Amino acid sequence: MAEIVLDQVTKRYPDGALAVQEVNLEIADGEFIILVGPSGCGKSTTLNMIAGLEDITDGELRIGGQRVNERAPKDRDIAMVFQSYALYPHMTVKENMAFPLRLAKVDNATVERKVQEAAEILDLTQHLDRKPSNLSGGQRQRVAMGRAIVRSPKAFLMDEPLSNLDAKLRVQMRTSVSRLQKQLGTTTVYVTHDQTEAMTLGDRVVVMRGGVVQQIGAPQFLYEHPANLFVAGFIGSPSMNFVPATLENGALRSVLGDCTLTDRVRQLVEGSDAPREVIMGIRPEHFEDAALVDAAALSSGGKFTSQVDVLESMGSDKYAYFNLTGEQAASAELQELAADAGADDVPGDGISLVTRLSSASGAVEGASADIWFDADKVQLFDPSSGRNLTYTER
Amino acid sequence: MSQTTTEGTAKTETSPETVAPKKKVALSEGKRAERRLGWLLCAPAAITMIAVTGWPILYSLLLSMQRFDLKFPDRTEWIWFDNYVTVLSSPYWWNAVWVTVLLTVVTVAVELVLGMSLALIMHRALVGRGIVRTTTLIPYGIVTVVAAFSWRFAWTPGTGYLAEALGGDPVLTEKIPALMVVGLAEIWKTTPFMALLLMAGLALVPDDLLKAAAMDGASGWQRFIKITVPIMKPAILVALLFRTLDAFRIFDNLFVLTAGSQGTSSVSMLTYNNLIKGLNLGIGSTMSVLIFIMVAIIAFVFIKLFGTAAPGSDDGGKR
Repeated sequence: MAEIVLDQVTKRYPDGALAVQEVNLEIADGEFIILVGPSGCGKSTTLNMIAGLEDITDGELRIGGQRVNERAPKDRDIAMVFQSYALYPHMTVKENMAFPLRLAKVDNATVERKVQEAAEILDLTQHLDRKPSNLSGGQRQRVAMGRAIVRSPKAFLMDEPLSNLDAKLRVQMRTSVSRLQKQLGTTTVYVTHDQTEAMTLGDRVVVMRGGVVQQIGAPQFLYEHPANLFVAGFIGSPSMNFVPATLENGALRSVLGDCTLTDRVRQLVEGSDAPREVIMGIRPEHFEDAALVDAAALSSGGKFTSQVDVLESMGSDKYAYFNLTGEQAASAELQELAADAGADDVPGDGISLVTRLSSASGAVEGASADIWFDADKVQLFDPSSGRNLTYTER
Repeated sequence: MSQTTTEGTAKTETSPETVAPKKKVALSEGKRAERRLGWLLCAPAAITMIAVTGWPILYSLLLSMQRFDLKFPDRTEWIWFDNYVTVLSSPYWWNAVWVTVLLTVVTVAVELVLGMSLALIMHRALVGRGIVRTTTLIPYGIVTVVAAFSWRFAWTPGTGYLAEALGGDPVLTEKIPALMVVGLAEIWKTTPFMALLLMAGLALVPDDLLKAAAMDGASGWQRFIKITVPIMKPAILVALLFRTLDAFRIFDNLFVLTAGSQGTSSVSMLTYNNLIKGLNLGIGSTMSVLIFIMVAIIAFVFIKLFGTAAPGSDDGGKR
């Protein structure tokens, strides 16, 4: 058990490519921290630097208060779970899990006991004598976890450990990983590109983009107070809607109709030296069928009328998709997010909008609907820098 | 050539056996047509194999059971196993067997160690990977006889720099030093081949496994012994099998360097001397049949005892 501190940690490859740039991160003892971002954002490189599998070009890495930059992986006392599980194919499950202990020259009785304990925790007892090739994906994943926990390391590093599992198993394993981490109380650094895993697993989430940390915070905080367009677009599923808008005398003009900024939003915008042209971000759940909103709220929010493109009823609520005419919000961050999601290949012009309406809504696919949105929940972004103009620490 | 025959026939024999249990279930019309097509497609290759390897083997067997000396064609007669008795009780034959076994064991063992080091260097080389690989492979690219002549000149007192460097002794005229030179020439020549086969095996070891082992606390040597070697075991066995069978048939280096003088004949050399030089088809064929049997035993031992199954299967790699 130990805290891990990354102090201005930088990774530059010999060809000059900058993979990770001055990451500052203090991971508390027992904390479960998630590194998340699209592929190529430097999250795995960061993890490999903590593991010792990649050299640190600049900066300092401290584990348990000691500088470990120059230490070999085996001298750092941390365990790692790989995306491919990296199980040794020629060893049985038991031998796989015992491998780190055997290398550490632990006596036989202790090895036996520890492997047995780990196998019980992970429900692997009846598979101990099988080879990895005869196990299912979920079982292999558990063996990989078992190999990490047997030697009670200072920290666990996990590199997308669930991404090779099918969707249903992934949800199941997600909860067991979370439970296991709570049970053992070991500091854990977990890399994923899946924002759902990031939201559900971690105590804190680190969002990275292009080797630079964008924002660090609790999942709920990142969701409600994204520091910039990238974090806003990355966290949340379905993701936040972005619409170009104009700020004019305390009012916000966009294809979603004009609305007056609430006092809270206006104060934040005034304090942040906002440009006239902004990108307005609003989450799907902050829309509602205008017919279901009371008069007071109706007048304070924004309202637009459009034809429902697609309507998906989820039972508890309805997702209504709209395709509005107008220019899409343009920024480097949004382009990158679209590319990561593969959405840049999807044809279509105009602004696509996702709204989550109450199940009581009478919206019908193909028919026109009146939609209201909560003006107090609007987030405004600077199109050039991506900065959140309505960012607040609270 | 004979080892390809044993391998080929072994394969065609085992594959129907492994499929056979399934066949007990009544075959559908489509499956039967598929099988028929399969046999038809295999037939040309199978017939060619029988014609070019099956018949010569059979013919040697027949020759080995006759007194058949082209110098005395009139005295040809059927003598069953008398030739085998003659060969197996000859000290020349047994000397040749021991020379061959010694050369095989020593050269293959040295080649394995050297080849593995070269393979690791080629696999890990970060700078000048192309140059490293090319230079390593140069000896393998030179025709054996040409290389053997250059070794002979190098070891000949008066013309050779190696002989001069070692004090001008005619090393190729004494049994043990001559065998050492032959072994050296063999190792120099075929280590690149070994390295190439082993490098292909090294590529089979996933990087993640080595990283995982490093995280688990294994040193570089432990990673090599406990992870790399077991996983590339099939490749090592294939390389060893190829080289052992090849080394067992050593001929060209010996032919050029010593021509089998001073008791340095290998079994192939002795067979050549009897069959081609001595024109004794009976004795020569007997020797080639004996070589064939020894080579078949080596192949059998490698495949059955050590196992060539991929690592990770529950049967422990044995079939």
